[in-house]
Amino acid sequence: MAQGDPQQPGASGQADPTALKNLSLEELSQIEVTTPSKEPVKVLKTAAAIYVITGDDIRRAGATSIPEALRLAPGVEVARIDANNWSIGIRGFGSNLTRSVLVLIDGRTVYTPLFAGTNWDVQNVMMEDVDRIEVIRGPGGTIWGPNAVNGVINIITKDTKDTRGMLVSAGGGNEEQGFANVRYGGGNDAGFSYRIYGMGFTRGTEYHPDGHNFDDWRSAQAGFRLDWKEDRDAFTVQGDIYDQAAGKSVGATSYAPPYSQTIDANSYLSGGNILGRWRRTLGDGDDIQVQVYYDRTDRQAPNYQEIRNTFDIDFLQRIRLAGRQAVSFGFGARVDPVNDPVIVSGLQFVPNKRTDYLLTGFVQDEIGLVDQRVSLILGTKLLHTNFTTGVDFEPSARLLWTPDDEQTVWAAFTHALRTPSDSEENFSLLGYITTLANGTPYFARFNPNTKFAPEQMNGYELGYRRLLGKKLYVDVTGFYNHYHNLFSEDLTGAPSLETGSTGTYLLLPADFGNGLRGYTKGAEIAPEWRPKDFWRLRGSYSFLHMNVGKSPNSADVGTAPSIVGSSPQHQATVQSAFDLSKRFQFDLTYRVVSALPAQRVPAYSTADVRFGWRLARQLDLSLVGQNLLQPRHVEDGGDPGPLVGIKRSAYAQLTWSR
Amino acid sequence: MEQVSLNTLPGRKRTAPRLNPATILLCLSVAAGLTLSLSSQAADEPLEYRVKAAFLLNFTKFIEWPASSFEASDSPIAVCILGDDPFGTVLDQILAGEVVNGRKLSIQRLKRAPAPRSCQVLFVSRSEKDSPKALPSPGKGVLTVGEGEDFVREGGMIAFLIENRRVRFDINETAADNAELKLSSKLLSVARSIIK
Repeated sequence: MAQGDPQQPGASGQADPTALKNLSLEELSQIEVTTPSKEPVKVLKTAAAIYVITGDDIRRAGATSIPEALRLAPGVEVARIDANNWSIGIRGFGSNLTRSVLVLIDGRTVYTPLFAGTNWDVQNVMMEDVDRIEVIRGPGGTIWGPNAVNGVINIITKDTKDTRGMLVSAGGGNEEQGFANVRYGGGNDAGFSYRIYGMGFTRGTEYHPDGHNFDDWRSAQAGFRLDWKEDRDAFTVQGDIYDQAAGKSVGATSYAPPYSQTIDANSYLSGGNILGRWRRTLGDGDDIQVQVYYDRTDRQAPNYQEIRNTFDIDFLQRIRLAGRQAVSFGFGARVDPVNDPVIVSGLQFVPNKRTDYLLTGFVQDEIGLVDQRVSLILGTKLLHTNFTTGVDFEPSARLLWTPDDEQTVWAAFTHALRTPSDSEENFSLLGYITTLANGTPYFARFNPNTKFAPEQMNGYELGYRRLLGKKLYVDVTGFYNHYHNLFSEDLTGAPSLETGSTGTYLLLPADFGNGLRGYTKGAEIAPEWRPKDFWRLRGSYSFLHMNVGKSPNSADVGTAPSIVGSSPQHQATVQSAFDLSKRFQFDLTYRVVSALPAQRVPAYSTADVRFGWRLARQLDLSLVGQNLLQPRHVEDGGDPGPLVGIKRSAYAQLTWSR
Repeated sequence: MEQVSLNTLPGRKRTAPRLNPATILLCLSVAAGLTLSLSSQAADEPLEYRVKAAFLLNFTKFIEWPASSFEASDSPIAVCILGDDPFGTVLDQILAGEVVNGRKLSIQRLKRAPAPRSCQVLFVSRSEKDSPKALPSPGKGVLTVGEGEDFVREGGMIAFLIENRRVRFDINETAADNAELKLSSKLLSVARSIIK
């Protein structure tokens, strides 16, 4: 059996159990035992709403990108805007900017301080390399970095010792028009292993009622990783480079006519990163970890450009103390010189060249009480950025109670904040209103607000996990998040005439303020049931109620209904993974999402189906159909112009591994 | 910048989701599940314990017991389960017919600590967790195996645990040395962590 084997032995009830005795120690250590009877120790003992999407879940859902894989987690709203653009949020506030959610790939934060959000089009990972995606709903507690207000998404790739050998996979279909992934991994028996990979894809456009098919997408990416373990030390070095062209449709305004237009053109996105990590185990659960990385992003959109170089260093130490205490602490520093040349005059970052920086620290104490059954976790994060004065604290208190081996109850209180970004403090954005009778244009302009304060949140959560027998596992969470100082669009004065290089125009001044507040509350339930050894069912249901409005004395123009109406109140997913035999797998994922009134998007339900066929010992075929229940359906209105329909699609994938 | 606007609120529109094709697909899976379950054998033991049973077999291959831990030179390597048996028939199937270092393998199921030299591998079931230490130290030449990280911290030699959905194990090297067991470096390199 090769490493990274797409289909595992013994997974079917009819398999000969003694086939396992011929496997080596390493091979036995790779078999995924996805029985809910023993959910990972880590998840059961985590005082947070954590959900793990495994590499196997991703493969069986037929997901070809991280946003599509995230649909499997409860509490995460994923709405596909077009072929290369998604609106993602956790427990509300979903948008194409994905703000207030910290996203990491192997410990490297991938959110951009430009707008405190994530560009998903450039977060591509070879799906066969993904070991798991850990999704934490709610503020991530003290260990995680900045921006972890509504959640944390941590994408973790496999250790190189799990990806030895050659793997080639390629395929195509009507939307996934063509893709190819190649990976080679090697190493020695003395704790050193490595892999190199290359991947590329070309994706077609979704459905556009006006015939403007702008959203095609082509990408090429390559990278490597090496891991070396020696006694108490473990080292990892990894890096990637990518180059893409992704078609976008954006609004562009300028002071000269035409004052406002929609541009359909390619964004050219390229970049790379290199990361090094050292971890030393000091014995008895103590360890030290240092991580350094450099990340470069060159994003040329039709209406703006960002060239950002990020340098980051993080240190983390865990120590066990007497009295059943485990203390963790750490600090990190990140510096980003950035250059934003002006592409259209109506969208500018002022000044064009800046340096953003961020200093964080955290300390956390986990105290075991009452005979190992109760844990109290107290801690705080400290934060200082170039946008904030002084040090901000994000304290957190969590309680974990394990009455017995089958159940866990946890409760958490966290205070979290989203630090300001360039798009509030350094941003000048023009909006065209109309042209007056005398030919004078009338604009509104958001001016930079260097006084934008961090958004604040107090989150209260309660959760319960239960193993019912060996086949059923249930995870239930309830939350109440109270927000203030939320991002608002404020009018700051009366219209007046202004004269610039293009002439005179009427200008309504505005900026981004902290004028909204409100709360979200809801619950998520995620059962997992294994009625038979060859059949696994996973489900999730999420309920969200949002109530956001203006703060007293706020000059907000009325953005709250649009925020509330852009998140679904109900979401449900069911995933069925069925091993028909040792050679055939039949997988089904069904989801329902309720309406987004502010986006004019109705409720929808759709299903994806995958048929897996092991053609030979080293060759696997996957046939995947996606969004099958309608020829097309809309999920979000994030593009200018008419709502884009996500098409019914299918692809076939052949994987050869040795 | 892709998204910011001063638009007014558009109107509402709701459509109920259509369920029929999905219900059909779901019914197909349920029907297939029921038919297969009627025809399948009783091989219903969770994969997790089949993997652990295979590990137990491997432990006997990668550990050397001192000669004094056996009654006779042709005594089998005895794998004993103390407390509730989570393996069912799987352990018997995996150990059947195996010969390790010239010795056969046998299985015993016990309700209390074994007599000296009657067990070489002692698997301590989770059911024994709350009873006062069933193994102050079961004597030299006995490999104690349990489940959960705490097992090795409390003096057990090998503890199974589930990490990232895989069966892994921790080793308490000091405890194994005290029992005069020689662990192969291969076994140590595959362990998740080693406590000295």
